[in-house]
Amino acid sequence: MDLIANILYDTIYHSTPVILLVIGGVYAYKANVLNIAMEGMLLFGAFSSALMILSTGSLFYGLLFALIVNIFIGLIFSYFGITRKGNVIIVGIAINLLTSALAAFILKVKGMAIINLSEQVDIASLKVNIPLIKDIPFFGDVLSGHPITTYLTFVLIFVLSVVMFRTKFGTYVRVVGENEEAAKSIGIKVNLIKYSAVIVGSLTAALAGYNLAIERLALYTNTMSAGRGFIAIAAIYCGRGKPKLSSIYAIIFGLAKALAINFKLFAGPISGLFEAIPYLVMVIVLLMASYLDNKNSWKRGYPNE
Amino acid sequence: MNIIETKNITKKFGIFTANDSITLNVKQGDILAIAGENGAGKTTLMNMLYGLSKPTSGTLHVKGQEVSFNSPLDAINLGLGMVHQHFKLVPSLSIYENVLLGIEIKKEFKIKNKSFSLPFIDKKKEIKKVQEVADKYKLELDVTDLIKDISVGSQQRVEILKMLYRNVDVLILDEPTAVLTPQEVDDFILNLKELKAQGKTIIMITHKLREVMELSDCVAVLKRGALVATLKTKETSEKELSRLMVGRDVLLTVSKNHKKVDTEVVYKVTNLETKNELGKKVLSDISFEIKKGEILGVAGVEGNGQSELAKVLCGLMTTSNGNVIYKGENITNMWPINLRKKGISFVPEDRYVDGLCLDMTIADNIIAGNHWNETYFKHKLYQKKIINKERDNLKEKYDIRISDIDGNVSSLSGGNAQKIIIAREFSRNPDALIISQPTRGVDVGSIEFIHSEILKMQEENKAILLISSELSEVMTLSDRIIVMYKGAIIGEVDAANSTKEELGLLMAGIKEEA
Repeated sequence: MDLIANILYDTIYHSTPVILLVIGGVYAYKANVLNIAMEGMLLFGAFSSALMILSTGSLFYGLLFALIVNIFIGLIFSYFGITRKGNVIIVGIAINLLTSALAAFILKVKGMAIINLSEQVDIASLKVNIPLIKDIPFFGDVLSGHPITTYLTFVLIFVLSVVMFRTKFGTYVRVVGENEEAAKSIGIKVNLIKYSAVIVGSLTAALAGYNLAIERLALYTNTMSAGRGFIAIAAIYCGRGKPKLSSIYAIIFGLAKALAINFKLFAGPISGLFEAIPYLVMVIVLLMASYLDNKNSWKRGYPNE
Repeated sequence: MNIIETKNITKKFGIFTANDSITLNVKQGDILAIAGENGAGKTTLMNMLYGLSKPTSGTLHVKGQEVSFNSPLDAINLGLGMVHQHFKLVPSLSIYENVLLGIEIKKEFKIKNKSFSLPFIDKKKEIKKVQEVADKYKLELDVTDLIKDISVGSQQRVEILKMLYRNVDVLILDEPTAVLTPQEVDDFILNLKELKAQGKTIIMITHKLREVMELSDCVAVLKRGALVATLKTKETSEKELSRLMVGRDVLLTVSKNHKKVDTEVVYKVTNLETKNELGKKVLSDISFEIKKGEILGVAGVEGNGQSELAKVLCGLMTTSNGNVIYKGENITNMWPINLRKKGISFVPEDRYVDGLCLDMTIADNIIAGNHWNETYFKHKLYQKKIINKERDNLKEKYDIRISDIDGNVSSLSGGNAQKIIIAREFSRNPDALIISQPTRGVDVGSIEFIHSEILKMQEENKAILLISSELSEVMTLSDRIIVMYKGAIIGEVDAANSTKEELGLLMAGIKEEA
């Protein structure tokens, strides 16, 4: 029972940053902008919040700084990819490479290998226990005791879903993605909508970075994003840009990660291999999703041939 | 009163002059037709009226005021609305959502006398308001239907509704009838007359002279970017207009002698079926045969399975059921290269996607699909001299006009690009030809040439399948015509003894029980 509760708790724990990336990233996807810079945006969020907290000691300033930095990154991506019509893949890769290079440079100047915030941040105190729920056996162990951003994340899934399908902004994002000419002919400012869609993603990426570096570990290292940005892209594609469905794919990743970590303890010498499991699971999920998508295609070169 | 005046409007793209000093007046309440060949600058001119592009020089006056549009929104606010040739609708949204794009009605709540708007969209109110406008102009639409579920004719009415809802006084229509069945065209003409009766001014771009004659009060003819004439419709004729458009007398229809065809069946299709990505049948139970020296026409409103049929027959899609028999041999689901080797040629529907490689030279495109041929690739090496000679021969024979002989295909006009495909496919001496939309977006002069080439192939006893959404094309060229509706063959008629109305009914899915 304890093991299952642990696994479920860890699932929520590990899903959170990926869900955040997904529910913001779907906006760029729906606006037909391929944002592969999410990995870099996640790392920028983590780094800038860690750096700010290191110098000010304030969590709030850390988060605020991360949000501001990521708006800036979103603007850079949009300027080159949308206004200047550059290849968004190249722009995205540039931002991804820039992140770790810039972070490494600043760390080098400061004479540090990583940013350790154990003095500024007390992780245990950041965990919020929900009254009433925390006393329910089993469920209390799973649902309670997460940092505040985690709760916010699960609320945001629904909020951003409603924004996507019930509001003017969400409608415009979908229209721009589906038929840009239609949007233009009616006077919708297509580029403005695309910029906004990218920036929604960069803002949730800032939150994800804050969650990853500050609330969970009180630590920044240059490799800590560990491909989550790309996992999020995979989840968005599998979920076809629907916020709730895409989040489910993010949770599958979280579950795989939680399983790997909990069973690693019993694996002895091969425990290192378990690190690969969540990524393998995502490859298999992607394969299955792609097979199901094309199951009915009778085009040359597809399964039915 | 002139509602729109353009004064010496010129538009240049680099060194190319798309519109050359055009001065045009549009009277309020008139229907003005703008006629001209493809590339004559009709759409460029309209885009400037609608704020999609800005003139290089010259001025535009609306209701007596000089104006300068930065975006379509400025034009709409001044009462100008445009319906584009390619509809600008979002398929996954409903009619009312498309109509209200950009001017959504938000939910409100009232406290005492003040009303506050919420960020959410008020769907009920939207539906009611849009339906009212649709009914006022007798457009016969249920505004809650999704765009992807309604016919092309209805989609066009949605485009018009979109503009009417915004209270425009002037409607600009770009090639409005290109995608409609003959009956839909008749309804459409009635719709426009109703709009005129309600005081709207209409500018219609078209190259179909019948509609110009039937509908318009005045007609302006453009040729190579210049306005060559403005005429009262009553005082002109189709013949005069076509001469003004092309600059010479044009055979509007090629003449065909309906000779008796052979009895030998060359190409036979039985019970063909295939599905789309969603698992929905897009071809069901298609069977036909083509005899030696026969042209079988396939008519139908676009999107009723013709594209899929062409793709299956060209080997770009596979079948879930059914057979294709060629000269007694089963060739179902063979790869295109094998089909070509057996002597079948293809003219694909979209020449820039499936027919040509835009970034390669004309010579490379001339031999495309023929790379297995030892003549061009001796010991697998590219025989430049031989290939270039072949290109020069075909260029001469098929009257392809090229400014840079070693340039890429992307530098050619639509008509000449299509002629490259025609030259490549027809010169291989095939026994069967699958031809899709051979004259789409091609100028009048080239249409005449391509039609006569197709008839020449028939003279040489080829079996030809001609798929076209241009009804007059199918009717003049074919011997027999099958009509496709919702992926199936709904009827077959003899081309010599059929009427446009008869085919139009079949295209709309109405089958008279004999």
